[in-house]
Amino acid sequence: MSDSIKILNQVFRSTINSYTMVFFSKNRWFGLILVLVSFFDIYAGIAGMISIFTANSFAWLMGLNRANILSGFYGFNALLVGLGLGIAFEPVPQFYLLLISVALATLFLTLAFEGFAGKYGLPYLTLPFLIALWIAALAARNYTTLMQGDSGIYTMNSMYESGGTAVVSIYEWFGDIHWPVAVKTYFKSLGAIFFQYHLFAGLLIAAGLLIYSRIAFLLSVLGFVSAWLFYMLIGADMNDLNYGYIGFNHILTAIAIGGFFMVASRWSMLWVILLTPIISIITSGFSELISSLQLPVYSLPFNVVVLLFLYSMKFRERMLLKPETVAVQYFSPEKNLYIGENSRNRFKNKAYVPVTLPFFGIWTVNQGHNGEYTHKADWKHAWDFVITGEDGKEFSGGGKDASDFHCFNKPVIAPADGWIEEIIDHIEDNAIGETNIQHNWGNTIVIRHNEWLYTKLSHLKRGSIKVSQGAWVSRGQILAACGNSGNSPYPHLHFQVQATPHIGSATINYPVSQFICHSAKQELKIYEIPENGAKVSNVETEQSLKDAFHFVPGQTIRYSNEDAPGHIGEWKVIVDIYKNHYLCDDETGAKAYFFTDGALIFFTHYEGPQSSMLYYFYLAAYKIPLSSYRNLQVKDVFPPSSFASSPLLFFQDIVAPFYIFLKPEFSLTLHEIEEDLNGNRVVLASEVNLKIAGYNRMSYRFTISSNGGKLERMSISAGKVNTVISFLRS
Amino acid sequence: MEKQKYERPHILRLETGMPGKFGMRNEPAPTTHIDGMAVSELAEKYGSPLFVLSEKTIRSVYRQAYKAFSTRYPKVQFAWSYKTNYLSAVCNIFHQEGSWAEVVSGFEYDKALANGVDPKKIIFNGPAKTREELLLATNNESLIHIDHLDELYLLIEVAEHADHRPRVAIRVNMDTGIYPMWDRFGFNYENGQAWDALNKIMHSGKLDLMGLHTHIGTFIMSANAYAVAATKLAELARLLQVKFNHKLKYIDLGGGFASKNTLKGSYLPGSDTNPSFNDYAEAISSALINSHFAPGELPMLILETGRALIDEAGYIISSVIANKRMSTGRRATIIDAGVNLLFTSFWYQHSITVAQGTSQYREDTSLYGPLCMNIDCIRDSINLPLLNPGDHLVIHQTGAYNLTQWMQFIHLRPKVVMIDEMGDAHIVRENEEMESITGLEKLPGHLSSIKA
Repeated sequence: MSDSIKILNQVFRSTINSYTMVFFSKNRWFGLILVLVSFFDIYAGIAGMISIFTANSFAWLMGLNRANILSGFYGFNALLVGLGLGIAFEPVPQFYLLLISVALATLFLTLAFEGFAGKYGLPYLTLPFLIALWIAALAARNYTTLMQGDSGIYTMNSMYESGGTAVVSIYEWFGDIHWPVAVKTYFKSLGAIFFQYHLFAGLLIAAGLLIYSRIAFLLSVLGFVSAWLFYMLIGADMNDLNYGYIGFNHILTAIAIGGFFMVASRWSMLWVILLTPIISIITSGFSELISSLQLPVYSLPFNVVVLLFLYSMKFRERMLLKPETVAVQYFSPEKNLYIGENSRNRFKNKAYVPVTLPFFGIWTVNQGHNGEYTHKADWKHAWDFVITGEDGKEFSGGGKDASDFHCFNKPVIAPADGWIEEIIDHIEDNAIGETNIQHNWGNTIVIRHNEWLYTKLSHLKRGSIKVSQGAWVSRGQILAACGNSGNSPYPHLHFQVQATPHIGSATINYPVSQFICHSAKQELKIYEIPENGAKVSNVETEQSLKDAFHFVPGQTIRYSNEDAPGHIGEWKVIVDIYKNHYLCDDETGAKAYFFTDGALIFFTHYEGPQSSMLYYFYLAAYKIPLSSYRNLQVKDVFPPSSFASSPLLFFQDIVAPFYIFLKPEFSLTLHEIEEDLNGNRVVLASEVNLKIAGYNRMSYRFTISSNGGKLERMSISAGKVNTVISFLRS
Repeated sequence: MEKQKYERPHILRLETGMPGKFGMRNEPAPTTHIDGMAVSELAEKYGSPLFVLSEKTIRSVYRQAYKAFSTRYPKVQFAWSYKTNYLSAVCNIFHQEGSWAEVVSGFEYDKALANGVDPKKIIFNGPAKTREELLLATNNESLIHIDHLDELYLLIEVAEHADHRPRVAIRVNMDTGIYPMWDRFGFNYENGQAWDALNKIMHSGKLDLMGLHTHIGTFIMSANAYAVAATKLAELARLLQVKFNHKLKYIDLGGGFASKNTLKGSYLPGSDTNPSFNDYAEAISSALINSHFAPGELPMLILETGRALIDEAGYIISSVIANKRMSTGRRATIIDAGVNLLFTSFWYQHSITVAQGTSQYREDTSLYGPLCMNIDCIRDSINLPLLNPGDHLVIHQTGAYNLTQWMQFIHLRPKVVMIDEMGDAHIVRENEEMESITGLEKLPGHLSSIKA
């Protein structure tokens, strides 16, 4: 891509996003519609565009955050100011001086509000626009060269000027149309957001809104209808809604609260309804207050209500109560809902520090959580482990001596990295059958892994502890030997996780990050609690998979596609300033975000065209375990937005705040493994299935192989795409 | 009422006085069944003598051994020592349990391949590998354990023409405090030969150095010797890491673990005195874990245990041919299994029990085999009850080496049966027939007839 194309592309993105950001969107089609609408009044359209260029170029030259500029964050307030001024004043040369100055002032105001509101984690919405336009309008009264425009008053004239008779006749046709007043007012309110108080503009914006987001469209209707009903009920002057088209405050608030800042749900919708009267009160109240200055309230009610609501929500102690705040903003109510909901399930374990089992080999849980002997009350979340023989017994020989027990004197290892917090190593091991209740825990090690996260290993063999207090230990390091000290009638290892550092601290319910459960077959368990009676062992990392999926920033993955001979595709591994890692295909602009928790590789998000091979890689490698077991099976669910739009998805979008019925399922199995000391060859088979009422709507099949620690091949069988891509060894 | 068993009359010296140091004489119970199968029925159905192998015991002992190591060390791999017992049925049990193959000849190598072992999981040991065998093993990416410099040079040569880089380790011999020191195999640690060979390998640039191997001896009665060996190999691994930044994939401590058999001349029975898998595992794992390796970077531990895994699973069912009295008045019994089948009787006092109920009367007896050779003595002195011709005896712990070192000498070799885990017997090797031996013979024309 040449530099000039690159610059043009960036100008285009920053400009179009400045339009869509008014509706919290980054949808290009929506943007083009909005540009068109803004040019219904040609001079206002030009003023808006100039205002955006002014704000964005200054932002660029001042060295502001480029991602923000490209997202239109610095342009949308300037756009609204430009449109407002463009409608209000005649396009004399002096006007443009004022316009550029106000646009620059809007940028400063934007930054001021960004800094101020940002500290509270709040958005600045259109506050900069409000202040700038009010001040500019008041100030302009003193500037004699500026003339009040009449385009807002003599609409026909301005129509004729910009589009000739054709536009005028379209306008007239809409003027004559006999739709219910509520419907007309809804569309006019939408148009009013861009200072176009007529039906046609509103219809176009509504269409754009529908293209952008079904949920946003639904919310706009909800916000408007509840306002309409409230005004009817309260007996207020309908003109408030009708004349100034202040109804758009209700629409924007509904989108912001209903699906953009909060995850769309029946609860967020309930809030939209509850907030309606407040918007109305603020509208009427402030109208009275500033009418003395002859200023309209514009979007003030929207700003005040949204900020008040978002700020209040921050005081909740339980953030996961409905409606939930959107954690990662995708600029789409659908994606915020689908991906948010999906990620909450997928990554619910991300907060855990991985704690593994504190021993080598297969041990048996002989008392689990809420055990029948001693794991009760404050100490109920603990495990006792022993080793059982072929015969199921814990000992061979007579079992009269501690050394008859399989687990006695076996190494006990660190379950996670940490510091040794406390040690007791002097308590005599008991004779079999006897207990020492004076020293309940016997010889014990407490390890500090994190603040509020400690593990404790008890009943260790006297004198077996190999580490000292304060020492750093790494996971897997040998700490001591299993013994029979303390309240222990026969040798076993007591293991618990606790939040405080003391011997005798209460336990906390904390899962083991990953382990294999050995029953009739081996099962990989991830963040689960080993159950009483289970035979469990640590997971052995499959080095070949670990190496193959170890994407290092700066690395380039090259592949050739069977269907496109001679073409070498490239994916770059990139890390951004937020430490997000992703694969990037420069050719298509596709990005596939991933992260690893040490046990699994997750692909978290994909953006870009769904024709890119990277898209299929994202689907195929959605969740990859870094271990290989014969009957390994990994399952997961995709957000519906990961797949191309369809009538089904359209319908899903509409009902999404209430029910998600599209659940594309991911499953992965170990297809084949060829062991090799120099790196195994591992073939994983994954599937994506979408079933609705038992009928399979979609069935994609993939295999991914790694050989000797490198990606080898991926086969794709996904609808019309059937191909094999081979990764080039680098 | 069952008919009383006839016992021949005998005269017994009256033994009075105190019982021995270990209490009254311990008389082992008759072995009437092996894994639920009646010995008499086995002998009747498959003939006598008869080798019997217990699949249940093989698997159980293997699992005990694996558990002893895997609960002490994160990455353990057994490699079945073919020379100990290369009956395919036996090998395949070990392979099913997860064992690799450890072979010491081209014949054994081919046998492992025929058993379906992944060539990458075959360890090729031994002092006598031919160029062809080395080339085959190289192309198959098997693990070649180099025994001497001539082999090293040959392998570097072979590497030039091979499809793959040879994957090698060297066998190291060392002083572990054990006598005799097995310094005829591999490169010596103390005098620097081993380090020298490792340098040659690294500098050659043609070989993939995968690991280190040692095999300190056989029937090692002290677990500590393995700790010494493991420490010395770990030191070599450390040196390789320091000098060449080369990380080894495995450390192979070979075999040599004692089984529960009692060596001749031992005062106490082997089952009481020989180290257990736990003892060996403790010594080896501790030594490796306490060496320089970081917790996540411990190399794979390979064990080529043979004898200790299979001895217990083997039995010979034999029948009494005759009783006689020697010139000294000592009782002697002749049975149909001799040193031709029981090579290990040269160094073990095999436990031998009767297969049917007897009275409490017993007599010190010399037990001879059926060969017309003076050496054919199974036990010089064993306290046995009074036996009649046709009575069955069971010789215990015969699984290791006997089925590979047995001789077709004077008698043809008998059937081998294996009792599976369900208690059903399968013939895993047929008895030899005249044709088995003479079929290989060729007669020059002038000798084809004895009529002149």
